[in-house]
Amino acid sequence: MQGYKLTYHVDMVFCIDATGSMRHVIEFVKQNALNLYHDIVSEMDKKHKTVDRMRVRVIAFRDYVADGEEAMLSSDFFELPEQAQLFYECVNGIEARGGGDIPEDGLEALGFAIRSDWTRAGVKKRHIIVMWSDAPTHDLGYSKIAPWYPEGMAKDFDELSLWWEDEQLGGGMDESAKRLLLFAPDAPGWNRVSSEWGQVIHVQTVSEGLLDVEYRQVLDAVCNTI
Amino acid sequence: MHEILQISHAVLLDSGEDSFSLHSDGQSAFLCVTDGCGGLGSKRYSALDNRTGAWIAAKLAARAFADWAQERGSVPTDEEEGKLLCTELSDAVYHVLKRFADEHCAEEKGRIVGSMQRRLPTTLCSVTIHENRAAFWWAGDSRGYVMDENGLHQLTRDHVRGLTDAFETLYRDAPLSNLLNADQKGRILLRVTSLKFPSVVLVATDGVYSSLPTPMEVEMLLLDTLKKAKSMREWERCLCKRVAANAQDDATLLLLPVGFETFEQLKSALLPRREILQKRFITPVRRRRGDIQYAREKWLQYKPDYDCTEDAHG
Repeated sequence: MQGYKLTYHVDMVFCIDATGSMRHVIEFVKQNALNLYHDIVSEMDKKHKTVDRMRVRVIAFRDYVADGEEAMLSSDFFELPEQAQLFYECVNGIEARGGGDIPEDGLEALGFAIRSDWTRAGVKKRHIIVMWSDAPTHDLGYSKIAPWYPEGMAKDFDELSLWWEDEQLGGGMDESAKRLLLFAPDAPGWNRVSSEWGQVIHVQTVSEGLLDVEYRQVLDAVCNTI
Repeated sequence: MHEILQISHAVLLDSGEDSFSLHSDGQSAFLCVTDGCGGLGSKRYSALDNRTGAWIAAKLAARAFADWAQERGSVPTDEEEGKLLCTELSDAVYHVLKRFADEHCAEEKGRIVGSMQRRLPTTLCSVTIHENRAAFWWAGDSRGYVMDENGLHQLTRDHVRGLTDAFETLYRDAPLSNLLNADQKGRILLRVTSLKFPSVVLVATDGVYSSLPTPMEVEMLLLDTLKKAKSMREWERCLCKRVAANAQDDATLLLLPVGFETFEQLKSALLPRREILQKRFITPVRRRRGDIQYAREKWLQYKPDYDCTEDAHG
């Protein structure tokens, strides 16, 4: 049976807080986003997990009340490495501005990410959401008064939790494949996600670089089985 | 009792997150494999040479089982005793992990938290054997098997979320539903069985079976290497090579052949099965490589003899 190899299809959705407070770290976050997919492929390769197909989608989010139609900008999935240039341009095009008050609509971004068109193909899969934000979140639905607020969004945190936890209840992420990697402060919204949802890795900083040993910890958690 | 065969392969040299312990004398034996959970236990501890929690946990749990088995390890005679021993063993391993974590890992809280981080997480599958009876003790997806003239039989049901079917789990990275760790006591389950002589008792981490396309290939791997070998040690060497060639994860397998006088006697008892296996379940599936639906059909024919996972208690 030599030569038999299980291959992985990996989908990643990068959610980047693009509000004004991120100005001092946005370039750092963008660089992290661009490096992360290389590092995950390389880490999986080291563990003899061959990535057969990789797709990445980008969501830049702000605040529906303050930023209107600029509050949630999302791309389709880019096929990598074929569409790497388009992916780089998309990430590099993100500008930190707006945001209004301190909390942002990060949970709505998470809702969009969970409902991505995740791959069903491939023998084994990884469905990974990576979130970068330096701010707490509004309660889900706080910005409903804004005209651009999306229809069909989870009505509250409990419903969003169901989207995450149960493939059959609106989410669509594969139970075994999903991971949520949060680079966000220990702040309202994120700390609830971190403590109540399964398969979450919460790095409680977005503005400081990770030590090498911490970065390896994150990569291991994402790439290994659990 | 005969000698125990040890097969252990690490994907990253010196960083393997599997471990094992074993013992055999004239009357009784135990085998134990552990597999540190690399995703949940990815935190590295600077005070411990930057080793991961998974690496440490596997070693501690294997040693904790050995300590317990040398003092208390037997094959329970009834369900009541079995339940008692399961609780005792779960407590023993938990206390070892917790004490170590509290002493060595408490200071390093770190900036990485969340439900995917546990202190010292590991699976464990072990077997205690006395005369013709074997007791499998396990938590997680490391497995216990017996192989006899009727084929390979899986005795332990994987503790994973969702389907536990041995074929289906090969095609999902199903999260564990039960494991041992320092934060919360895990549940060790027990399955007792009588052994037909001659037979081979095995325990294995998931790296042994998860890199093969069907559960039938595990049996083929064992019988193929047995056929080529002229002695127990040669069988061990053949298995080491084949496991390493297939492995996409750390892989540890311990085998104890029981109830025979000579190696030739073991071979002549077990090898007739190889031809049937090859003809019915291996060659047809290999010819239609990549056809998962066909492999599943063949698996469903193979499964009734293979799957002996019912009636666990603990």
